[in-house]
Amino acid sequence: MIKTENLTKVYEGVKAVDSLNLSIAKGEVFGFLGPNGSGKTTTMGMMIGEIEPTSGSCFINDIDVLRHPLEVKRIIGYMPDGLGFYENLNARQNLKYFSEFYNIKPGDAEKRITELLEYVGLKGVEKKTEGYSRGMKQRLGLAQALLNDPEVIFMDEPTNGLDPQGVMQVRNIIKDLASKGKTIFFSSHILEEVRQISTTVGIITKGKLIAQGTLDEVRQKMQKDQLFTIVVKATGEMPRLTNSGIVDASYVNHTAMIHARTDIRDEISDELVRNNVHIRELRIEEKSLEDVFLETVYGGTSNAT
Amino acid sequence: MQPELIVAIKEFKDYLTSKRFLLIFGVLILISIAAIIAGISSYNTQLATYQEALSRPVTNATGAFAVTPTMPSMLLVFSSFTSTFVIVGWLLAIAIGFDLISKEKETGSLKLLLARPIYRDSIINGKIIGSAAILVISLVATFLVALAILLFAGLVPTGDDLPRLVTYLLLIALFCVTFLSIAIAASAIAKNSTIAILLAIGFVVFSLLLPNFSSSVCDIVLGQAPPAISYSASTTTGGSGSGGSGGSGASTGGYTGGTGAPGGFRGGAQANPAYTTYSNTRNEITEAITLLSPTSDLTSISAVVINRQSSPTSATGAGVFEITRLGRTTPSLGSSLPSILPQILALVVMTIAGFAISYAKFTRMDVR
Repeated sequence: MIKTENLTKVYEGVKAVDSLNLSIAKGEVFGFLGPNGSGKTTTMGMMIGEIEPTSGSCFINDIDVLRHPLEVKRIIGYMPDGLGFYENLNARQNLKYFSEFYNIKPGDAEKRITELLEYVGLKGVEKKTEGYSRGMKQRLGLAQALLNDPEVIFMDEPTNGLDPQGVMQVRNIIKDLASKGKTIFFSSHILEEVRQISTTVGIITKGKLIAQGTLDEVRQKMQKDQLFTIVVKATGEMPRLTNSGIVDASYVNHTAMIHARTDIRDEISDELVRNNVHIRELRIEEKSLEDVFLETVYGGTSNAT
Repeated sequence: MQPELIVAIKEFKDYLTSKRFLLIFGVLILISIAAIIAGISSYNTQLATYQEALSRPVTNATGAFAVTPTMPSMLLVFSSFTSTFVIVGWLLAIAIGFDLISKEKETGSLKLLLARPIYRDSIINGKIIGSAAILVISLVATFLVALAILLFAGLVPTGDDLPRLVTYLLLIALFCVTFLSIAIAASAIAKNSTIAILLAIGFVVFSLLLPNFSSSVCDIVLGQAPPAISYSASTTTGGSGSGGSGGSGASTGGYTGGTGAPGGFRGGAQANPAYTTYSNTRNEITEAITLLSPTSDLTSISAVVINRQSSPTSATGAGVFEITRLGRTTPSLGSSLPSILPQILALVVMTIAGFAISYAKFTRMDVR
């Protein structure tokens, strides 16, 4: 549904996006993750035909964005970061204006606008958008992105600046849209958000895509250290383990922290049973996606803050 | 509906509800009414003088024929309109255009608009159409108000006045649209509305001050003027040995033995051809420079269209003298229009340049 081939954008000699190759299937909720200034918005701008790429190409539903931008814009919806509306108009008037650019009959447009305002929780709000809170703007932003009932929806930091309730509402709407078969491409710099909503993710840093796939696939790809970490706790004294699969181990009181190339929990269990050691805990400790993300993108937790 | 029209209608409606626009439009109407009332007063004074002259005998006390006065035209009332539009017309145009694009960039609504299936050139064309339409309609409304006051005061335009008034209205509209195009260009170039309005006002200041600098530019380009009068030794009698080539020597020798030179100069003094060339070149440069000033162009246009001059006389810059012909008969509009063609062309070129800059900048703009 969405495909980019060596998509590149150079601003004043600096590559904001560098040879990006992405492929997103129909119905996926794709989380585009990266720190601020990593090239997410520029990528999205090129995908929706607002920014001209320096080189490379982008296809939405097999339509070349650069060659046929209007065809692409008819089948997509876009919710930008830092939403701004015509402040002298109310929500309905804003949507009415935008709807005029699609070939929707006036009666159908009115009906669609009423449905959308109800869907995003702005039914009955008649005040001009200049008095809107951030949350209300986000909701209206969602409504305008859905005006043409798009097949693909692009969202740039859709929960940015929202309170927890607003975040939940936006996430629920995204999940609902996904359940209706829409392809959703959303960017975020918040890992938790991506984890909660997306089916696939792509991680971009300094304009380069460093991983793409499901959450597990990305975590494994990004993990520099391929060793398994196994935590063993005994009720009594922890003996020194002799399994040949152990790369290194550290022992503190009744606990052992084992690094191994494979999952050797069964072998460790057998050895401890043979030595009449009662096992209190035996588990594998995986690095979270967050740990991997912070290490890869920011170079460690300390640098991320 | 064409996307250009969708944008244009939206822009037009926005202005009708814009407090800023309504305020400046209100000021324009008020100043215009004041200018018309002042014009009517001036017209009435001249009319009284005319009627008084008519009541006098055909010959005066010395027995010579008195000059028959001509009846003042109601167009006289519109003379003061020019100064009104020089002050308020550009203000209205700039108020309409300076944030036409920059405001949408600042608020973020441009991102939403560009996400629609519409080409960028349609957006900029629609914006230009909408803003130009509201500007022209405002001017027409102002004119109609002025005309209504005139009719109310019993001043009815004659057959010659009407085409002059229509021409004047069209050229006033062109003048204002020139400033609109400059303001829109500033809006497209600038990063925000503050810089945009500074750029637009900078152009206005440039336009107002340019005629004052034309003299200095001429001095730099042409250098010092040669003497206006030269004294030729060959035209003097008996002064061949003492005349020399120096001005003062020639003067002395020429004057004492002078027989009168052709062209009215006595004693061998005659118009210096070098000065004539210098003067002509200077006038041409001055006129070319002042063409770049829309306010000067409007003043020149007004002199011909409203004041019924055969050619603009105020088109020269400060410090430059121009000898005007005082025709005894009023030239027709058709015969005098070619004399302001450079001014009209200058306004058209500046307008096109402004719109071209806006168009080029907007269609290539990266919206981030």
